Amino acid sequence: MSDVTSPAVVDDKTNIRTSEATADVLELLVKQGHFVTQLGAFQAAAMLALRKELPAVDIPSAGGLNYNQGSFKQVIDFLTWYVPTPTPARLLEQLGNAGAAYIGEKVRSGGYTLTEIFEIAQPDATA
Amino acid sequence: MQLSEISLDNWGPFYGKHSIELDVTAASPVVLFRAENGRGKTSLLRAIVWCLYGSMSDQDGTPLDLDRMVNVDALQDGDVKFGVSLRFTHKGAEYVLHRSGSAIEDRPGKVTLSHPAVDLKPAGGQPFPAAQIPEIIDGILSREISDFFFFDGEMLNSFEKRLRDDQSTSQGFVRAQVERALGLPFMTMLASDLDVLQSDLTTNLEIVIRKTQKHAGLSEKYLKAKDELQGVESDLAEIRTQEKAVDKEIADLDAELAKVDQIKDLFFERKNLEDEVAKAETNISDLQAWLARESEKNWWLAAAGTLKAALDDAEAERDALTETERQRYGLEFQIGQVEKQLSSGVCPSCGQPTHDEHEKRAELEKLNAELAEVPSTSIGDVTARLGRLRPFSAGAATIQRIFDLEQDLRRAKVHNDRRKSRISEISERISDNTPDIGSLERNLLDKKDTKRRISNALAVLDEKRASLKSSVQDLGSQIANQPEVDETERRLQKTVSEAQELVAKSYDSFRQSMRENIQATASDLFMRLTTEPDYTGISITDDYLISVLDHDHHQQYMVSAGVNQILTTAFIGALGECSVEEAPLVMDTPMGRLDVGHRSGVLKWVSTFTSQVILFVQSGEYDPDRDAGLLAGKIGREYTINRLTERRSEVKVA
Repeated sequence: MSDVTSPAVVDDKTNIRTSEATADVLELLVKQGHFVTQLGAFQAAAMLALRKELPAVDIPSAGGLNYNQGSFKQVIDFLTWYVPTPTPARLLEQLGNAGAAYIGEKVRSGGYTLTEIFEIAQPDATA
Repeated sequence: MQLSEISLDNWGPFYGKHSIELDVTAASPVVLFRAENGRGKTSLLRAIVWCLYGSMSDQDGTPLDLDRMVNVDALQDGDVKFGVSLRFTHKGAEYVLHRSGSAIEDRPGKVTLSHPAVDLKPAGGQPFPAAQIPEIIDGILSREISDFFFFDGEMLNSFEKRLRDDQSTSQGFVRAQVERALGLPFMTMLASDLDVLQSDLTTNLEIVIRKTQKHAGLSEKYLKAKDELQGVESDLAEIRTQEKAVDKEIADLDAELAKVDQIKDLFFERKNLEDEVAKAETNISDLQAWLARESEKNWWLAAAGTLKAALDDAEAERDALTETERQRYGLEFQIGQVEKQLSSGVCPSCGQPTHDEHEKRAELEKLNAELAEVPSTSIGDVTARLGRLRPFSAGAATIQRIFDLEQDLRRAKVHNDRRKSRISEISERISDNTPDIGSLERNLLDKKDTKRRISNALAVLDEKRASLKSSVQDLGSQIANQPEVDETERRLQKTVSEAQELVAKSYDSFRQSMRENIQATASDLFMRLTTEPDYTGISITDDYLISVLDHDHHQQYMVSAGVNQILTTAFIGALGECSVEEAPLVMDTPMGRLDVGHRSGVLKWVSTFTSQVILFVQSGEYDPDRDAGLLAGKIGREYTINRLTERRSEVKVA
């Protein structure tokens, strides 16, 4: 991760897919008022997975949501230089689905706050 | 009687033990408790009443179950002890009265009470036997008249309603209160006892003369009149029983109608709460939307900690690289200097010739070796990385904002849930209490009509009874005067007869004098309280019709609601003042419905007291900055009752 030079993006995905389970979690996150859009919720889930270094999960070929990678320009740019990776869209897909699977149980049971779902500590504790 | 201290144990909203000093001096006799509604003012008033008499009433006058006064939090601790102690002085002696019990909540809302106990001790003395305590307390301040001293705004309402009722009901009520204040029930019992005694004596004398077989006509007349009197008395007793039953029905119907007022209050409370819920829900939605926008905009927040660590690492790396660069620059400079010396043979710093070329070459070699060991750096990469990470450095502030927002949301939701729960509670109460008001009022009118008929019948029978009683007494005297009757028996019969006459005369004259006394006191009080210059006082006529007098001293029966409130306050104040020598006046929220002028009048009146006054007020009726001056320095003790939690309060010295 120390190499800041962004690698040339090669052979990356043009669409980012979610599993059906991920789509349900994203829909609940919006319904519970934690995000404005499912896309925003997916990005946050991906960032959680990045932080937790969660392993990739399988994404069935059918069902779920399908986003154009252009919708995630900011995150894809970020992953390109931060990780770094030549296939940021593929990585985002893996991270987003892994993050959604991780938080799925809490979201489905309801009653959790945003910081509880994403296990965000108060600043003093992180400092 | 003056109260010196009250101690509470798990009573009302007062969890655990609380002691409140109440003793005051004649110069500053007022004990002031300030608290908003629901903090425990009425619970304190009830504590005094329950401790003294072992029972208490709800605000509508119906008996209040004791289990409702046990602290709810304490009940959750399991088997709980509760109680009230009063330390008081009476006629120079000090007493401590303690009443207590245990309570346990078998299931939510179902409380079982046990181990009731009462204990009265004079200072330094032995406790009184429990069976004597009610009588002793009644002798200090009779239960019968205690509500002239311990009253709340609701009782004022109830009195006010009775005074505004139809003429005969109002007259009956005023007469009954005057008799209560005078203690006339006691005199009635005395008259009745004398009647029985006289009847027994005369009957014995009649038996004596019958045995002589003389005066048969007199005997017959006496027995006939006596039988007739007994018949009338029996009828009177029966009608009086009916009257009591009708009185109770009227009181029950009044209480039912009072509940309608409560329902109206509840209805408006629910409406206000519903408005508050709607506003709070808008606020909650706004907060939630703001939170959603923040989390959407700051998509990286879930990794903020990691990004901060990466930023810290990058900064450390940049610092290390800067140090390496500095070392490299230092070595390159030194190498340059040595190379210059070797090529020119002169020291570039001091200009002296170089003598030891061999040594210099060795130094150059060493420096080059050191330079070779310094890693090559690319600080530009780290700087670029730092530039990319810095926008995420605001993560801590954003996260703190989100935490604050979540806390606000949580609070707003909890408060709103409480409102919703109260709305449900009110809805349940309203749906359980939806009396047919029209039917209740019709029923009340019917009962009052019955009461009128009974009163008329009683008046006729009373007259007949008086006439018969007079005949029986006359015949009794004739029998007693027969020569066959023993002289001692004759004298006894005569004495009882005279006592009867004396009581009968006293009865009316005591009542008359008490009526006049109460009229004068109430009139004086009314004039202190009223803000209306046209009134000149209060009149209570011979037949107990109460009214306000205008500037020409004419009776005014149709007065405004505000004037009627003042009339009621003056009447109760006068009943209290005329009934016993001294007792504390305890008033719970007495000025809630009065305007500012009349409130000032009540406070100025209170400021004239030299005996103890305990006043419970809320901010709507008493403002310390505005009103303390009206009490003219008479506040001996001042407390506030503060809410600690929804179910706990504490009393603090103000």
